[in-house]
Amino acid sequence: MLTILNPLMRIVEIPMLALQRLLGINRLAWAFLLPNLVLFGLFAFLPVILNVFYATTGSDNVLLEARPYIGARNFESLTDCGNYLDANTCREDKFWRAVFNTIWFVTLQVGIMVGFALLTAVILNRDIRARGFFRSVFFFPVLLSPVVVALIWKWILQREGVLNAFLDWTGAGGINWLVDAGWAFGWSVFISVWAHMGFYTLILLAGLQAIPRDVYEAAEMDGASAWRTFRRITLPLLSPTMLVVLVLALIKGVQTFDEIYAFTGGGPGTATTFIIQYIYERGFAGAPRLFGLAAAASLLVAGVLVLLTLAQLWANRRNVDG
Amino acid sequence: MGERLFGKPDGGSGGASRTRTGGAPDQNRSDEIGGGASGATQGRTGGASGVLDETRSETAPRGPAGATAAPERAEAPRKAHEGRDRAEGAPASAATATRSGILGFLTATRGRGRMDWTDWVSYAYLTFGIFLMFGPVVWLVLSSFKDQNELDRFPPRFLPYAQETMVVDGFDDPLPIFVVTEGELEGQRVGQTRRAAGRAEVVTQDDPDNRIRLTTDQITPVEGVAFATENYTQLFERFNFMQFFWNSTFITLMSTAIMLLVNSMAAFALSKYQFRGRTSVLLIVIGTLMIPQTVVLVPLFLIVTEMGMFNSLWGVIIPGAATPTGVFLLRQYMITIPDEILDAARMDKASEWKIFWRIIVPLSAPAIAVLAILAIMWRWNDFLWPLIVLTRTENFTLQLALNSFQGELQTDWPSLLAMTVLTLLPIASVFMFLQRYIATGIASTGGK
Repeated sequence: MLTILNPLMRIVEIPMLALQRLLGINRLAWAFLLPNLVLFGLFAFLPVILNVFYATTGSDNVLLEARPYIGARNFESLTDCGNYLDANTCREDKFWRAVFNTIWFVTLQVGIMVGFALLTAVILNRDIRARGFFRSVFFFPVLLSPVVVALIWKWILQREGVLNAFLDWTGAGGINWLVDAGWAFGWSVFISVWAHMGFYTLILLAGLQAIPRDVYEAAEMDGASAWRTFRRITLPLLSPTMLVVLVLALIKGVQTFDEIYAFTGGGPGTATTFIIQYIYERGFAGAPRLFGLAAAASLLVAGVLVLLTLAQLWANRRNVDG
Repeated sequence: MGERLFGKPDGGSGGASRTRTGGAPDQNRSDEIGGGASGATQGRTGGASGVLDETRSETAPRGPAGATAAPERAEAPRKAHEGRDRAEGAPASAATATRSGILGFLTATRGRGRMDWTDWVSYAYLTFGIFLMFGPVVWLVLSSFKDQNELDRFPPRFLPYAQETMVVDGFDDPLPIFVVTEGELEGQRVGQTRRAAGRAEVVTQDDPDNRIRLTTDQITPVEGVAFATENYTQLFERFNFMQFFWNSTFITLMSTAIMLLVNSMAAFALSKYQFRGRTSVLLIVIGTLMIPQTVVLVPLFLIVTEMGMFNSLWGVIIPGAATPTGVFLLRQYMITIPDEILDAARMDKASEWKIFWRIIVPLSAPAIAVLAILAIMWRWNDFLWPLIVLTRTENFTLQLALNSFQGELQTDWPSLLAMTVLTLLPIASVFMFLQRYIATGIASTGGK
């Protein structure tokens, strides 16, 4: 691999050497940083600034010069509600449905997922046989693409799918899972947990293994009960890792889109439409393309994510400091 | 902070273990990355390397190398304990017996005493885990080998079945085999030649000229396990599968290559040069981590369109390559490469670029490999951004093709199942061989 690239690299060396003579060794660092900074600038920082521009301008034209300034009107139409707890009273009711769905989804998904990840990690931390194998069993779905995850479960849950066949066999009778709003939402939470749990299990397992063994031995000497040991030793010592896991899961949860969009398409109705799908549909899927609304909603999501990321950095610091 | 904590990979004492483990030094080192990587996610990583390197702690007695102390600490007393147990024999097993049930559940150690109920519960849970995690995938693969008739069948059967056929003289095509259930021919295997309105015309193998008329409820089909491959072959015949596959592959490889080059150059600059503004650049990179693609879709779309990359594979490749995760991962690794090597190269009049390309990159190969595996996975699985940029069918990646097929009014499950399996296959096979590295990398970068 490297040998194929060598001639190319020799060509790159010529301008780099010239730059080196010109700048000196230490300032040459900027030449090494340049491509990266250009990429980040163009595809990360510039978009953030432009997002503000889009959020404060109207029209369905994506070109900057064709967009008139409309101030905070996009935000106003997003937040224009008779009663904030009832999406039906809002002008942009789909936005609020998506917001409520996302809040419900994230709460349920993160709660269930972290709970099961902790249970799995505790079990994997016991001295069981073939631990490596079981660890990869739970980790495996993390690698699957969201669309594949969605299709695997859609195939199982379809009207004449294997789950309904099983229910028929037990006499319970089949259910049209993805046509019923409640079930579709429930299964969305389920496949999301199924697909991502392994990742958090891995982190929690690492946290568990970092707890010194002698603490447990001391507890045993003192005759502490098992439950007490778990509550008074394992949980407190694991809490920094738990914090990291929770924040990370929240950040990911808020951005849920891929697997659910492929799974239910946001339906039935808007039962499984989450905030990123709202942005996608307003900006790219529907006509007219309401870029302003999409950008305004993006900024609100970005605000939540920045708060969560700051929480994550803080959690990490706490984790490192002890 | 990171440098001090994580120290150099394998200090002096590592040498002994390296020679001993033979082919394993590379593995040891990439575990090190897991441990040393990423300023932002250190707390996790210190521990993560602990889980993922069972083999290392079992085979390699290591020096007190700064950071890895955390997992080592956890490992050491247990090892010592186990050793003592084995050495003392009888007293240890007496101690085991006093262990209460649930404490055992939470703290039990391998090889102590008999299985108690908590072990049974654990294994039951894990077995259920196998069923729940692998079951759906197995079901998908089995289903993809079923023909349309079998897929329509309800309730479905576990294995794919197909009706057996036989060749009878005088008929060009093989005839489907039935067994006669009543009448004078009862129990005989016959080939069906025609079937209409509840009546079937059959022949026997021995007497092909004698057409026998029966009602359809007098015969039942003979079936055997058969893996139908036409779902797969028709992917290539009826759909542009190779095009989708190529698009996905091209995007994945190009994006990964660009990201690796650009990230390792930046990591080199940030780890090996003292220059004004280094801290601000690091902050910028951290800042980029805080901006996920999902919240800048609209402006990103404008930029990509303005650059003429809308509906072009490059519109997915270039923004995908602007991922900052690798900068941390590689910088943390490159910091551990001794500066003396660079100085020696400079004495020999090597240019800085040559130092980067000939020394730093080869020495960072394990870290770059981990990053490459991760990047390949991310790009292969990408969905939302390609969905926005690639709107023409001939540009679709596999993920987009899968999604659009199932979105059509009548879902074509046979093709869809086969395509899902083929999309899953590259990742699954990579996983089988490189599972350890993937897990290490993911744990140390925090997902994407």
